[in-house]
Amino acid sequence: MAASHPLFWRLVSRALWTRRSRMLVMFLALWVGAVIICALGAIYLDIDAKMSRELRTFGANLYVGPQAGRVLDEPSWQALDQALPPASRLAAGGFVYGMARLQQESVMLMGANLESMADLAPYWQIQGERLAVSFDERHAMLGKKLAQRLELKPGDTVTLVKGSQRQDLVIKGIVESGDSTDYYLIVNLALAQRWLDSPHRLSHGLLSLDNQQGQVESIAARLQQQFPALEVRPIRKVSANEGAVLFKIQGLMGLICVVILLLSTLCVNTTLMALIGERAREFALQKALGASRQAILRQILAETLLVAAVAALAGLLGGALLAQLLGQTVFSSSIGLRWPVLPLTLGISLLVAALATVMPVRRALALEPARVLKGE
Amino acid sequence: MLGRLILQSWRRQHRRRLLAVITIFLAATLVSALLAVSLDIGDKMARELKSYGANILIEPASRSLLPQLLGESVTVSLANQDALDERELPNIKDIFWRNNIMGFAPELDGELIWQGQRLPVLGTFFDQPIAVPDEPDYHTGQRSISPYWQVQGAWPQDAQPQLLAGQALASRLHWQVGEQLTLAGPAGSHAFTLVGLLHSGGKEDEQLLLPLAFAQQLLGRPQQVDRVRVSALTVPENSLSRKAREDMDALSAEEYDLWYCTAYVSSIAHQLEDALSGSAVRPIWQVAASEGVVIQKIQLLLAVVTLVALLAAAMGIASLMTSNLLERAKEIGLMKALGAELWQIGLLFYAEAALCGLLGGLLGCLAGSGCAWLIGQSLFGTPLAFNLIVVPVVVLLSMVIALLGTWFPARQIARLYPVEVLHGR
Repeated sequence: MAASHPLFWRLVSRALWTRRSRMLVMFLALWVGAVIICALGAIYLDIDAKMSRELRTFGANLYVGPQAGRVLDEPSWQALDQALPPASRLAAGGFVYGMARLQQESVMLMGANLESMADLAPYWQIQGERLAVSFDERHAMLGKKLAQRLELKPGDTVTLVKGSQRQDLVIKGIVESGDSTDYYLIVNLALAQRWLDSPHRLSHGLLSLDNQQGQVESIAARLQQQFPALEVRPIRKVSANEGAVLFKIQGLMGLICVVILLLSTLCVNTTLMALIGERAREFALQKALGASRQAILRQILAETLLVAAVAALAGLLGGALLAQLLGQTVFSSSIGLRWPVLPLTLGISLLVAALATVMPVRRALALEPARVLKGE
Repeated sequence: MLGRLILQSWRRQHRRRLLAVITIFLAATLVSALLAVSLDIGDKMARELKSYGANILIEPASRSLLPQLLGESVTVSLANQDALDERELPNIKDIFWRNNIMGFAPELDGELIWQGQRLPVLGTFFDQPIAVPDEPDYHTGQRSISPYWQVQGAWPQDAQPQLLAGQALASRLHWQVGEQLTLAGPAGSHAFTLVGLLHSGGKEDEQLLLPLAFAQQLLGRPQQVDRVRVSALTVPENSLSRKAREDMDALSAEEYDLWYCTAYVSSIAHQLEDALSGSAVRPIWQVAASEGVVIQKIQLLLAVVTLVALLAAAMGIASLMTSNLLERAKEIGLMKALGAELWQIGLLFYAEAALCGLLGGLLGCLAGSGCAWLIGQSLFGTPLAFNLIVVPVVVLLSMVIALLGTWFPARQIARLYPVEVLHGR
């Protein structure tokens, strides 16, 4: 076989060069297939992380309050916040509630970490602007029901009154949430604590945790043990559903990926078979000249696999780019590329190419060379 | 002549033609299945997201009392005032979007006395049959609208004196499932059996839940309801519904009709407000808005994936048609040498391509609907609705792509001299 090696590679390289327009079509078909496999694989492997972020729009999923008869103070809240696994913690905020007097009437005052509200209550429908800095003591937001009763709109001023103390607040936004928040005057936490004469005290705290593997339940149980003076419980309405919905979405993407993968590889396969099938005459000639079946098959396989390998590598590059494009379009963030994509893309591409080569070549070789050469 | 040529080419080279049809068939299957899934996915996911509970809240319009807080003991001024009328509840299933109402549960707040202790109670429906015109055996309640409630023991029967206790309350008072409790209220007392413990993660954990009829009787508030939670299938909010919410009078008549006849959470809320006298209806935005965000994300994801698959399928078909034509250069040369006009040759190939596209596209739609059915069945337990608009779109698309795939190489080959091609260059 040693003597035939130069001939083997010459045959391969000549075939690639003289049939370059066909080779280009083959390369393109394989390349598109590889791009699709790589991009979809990357998206599928990253979809649960992406969608679990999206599901955080339902807001906080862990509640922390004082046990009956006790109070929640800021040091213990901070200690609890420190004890969270940093990778899971997405947002946290303490709240304090109490009655306060406005010039017009008594209202419920809600003090909140305003900068974390965008993550803890992303569903708030705000008319006007969202307050998003924690040190702002001149502005407030107003629940919609309260705003209707007091006939206030964004830009108006309300005045908090306590004995001889007064505090003017400009209404930045009107909040509609459909729950009790609609009745509150919402101000910054420090101001509310000062105004309610309860420094460092919190009514309760809310946390938004990553719940990709349903870890909120176990984190809650662990924190409850660690802080027996506090009541820590998952907000089941939010936490219990994330897993189920994620599972559905992942299943959907998985099924769709499998369908696309299957059909597009079959598509590539038929194109390759057509391209190789038309060379029946060439194989017949080689056979007539005395080449063994193995030699012919080996030569064509080498040719196709060479093209397939280059196409798969180029496809990995294209697929990575496509995945980023899709990630930016849909989730406005990049898709993490995981290592299983690499063997998946290479493996499927080479397998498809090999299958598409072996079948038509074997069929062509099964025929009498003379008949094929004659053109029947 | 043309017909005969096509027929001959199909009979003689059936393997090649078959390969083309199969490729187009596969691509059309893929595209039609994805199209069908992305058209119906919003509806299906909306149903899945109903597990987050009610998304609409109905309250008496003139309510001024402050709501109870989560984990905070704020005194609620229970001035016995306006309430909703229980007899009007079936109207909820009588609005324009009645089929989108997945369920509802009325709630009545109050305090009842047990062994000298005042306990917060909530009267509600657990799984109550309700007389609704179209659906004779319609029943609804917390079981259907609060699927995230975890009940240890059994759910109470609405007609029996049975109780569900919030687990925080039960553990504080050392109650066990099976306990007999006698509750007294302003209008009498009654003995109940505790049948289950509720774990909801909300304020229900501190409450005692009992069937609405018993609560009304003991609290002396016959036929009264403080609020109704409604779970409705909605479509995500868009600029029209936001405009309607800000100022309904600013809508033109056409916009109003479109808004009214679309299942936005705001238009359903509007219709519910008309259906129940003296009510104020508002969306629970935590569920309503977040649902919209998640559904829109999934729809966008599928649309983008469909587009990518479409492009790939198009390239697959085009490359196959190209390779198909390249190998027939000799045939073209022969036809030219025999005196065929360019347009005649073109017509032959285009007719063939269109035929392949039509056949593959039609078969693909059939297989695609099967694929969509399978996806719907295995994921959601119900088949996906196969929108018939998919069929003409996919068939047309496969024909156009097949024609385009023929057009490029056909132009090249037409320029060749017959002698060159026949010689084999």
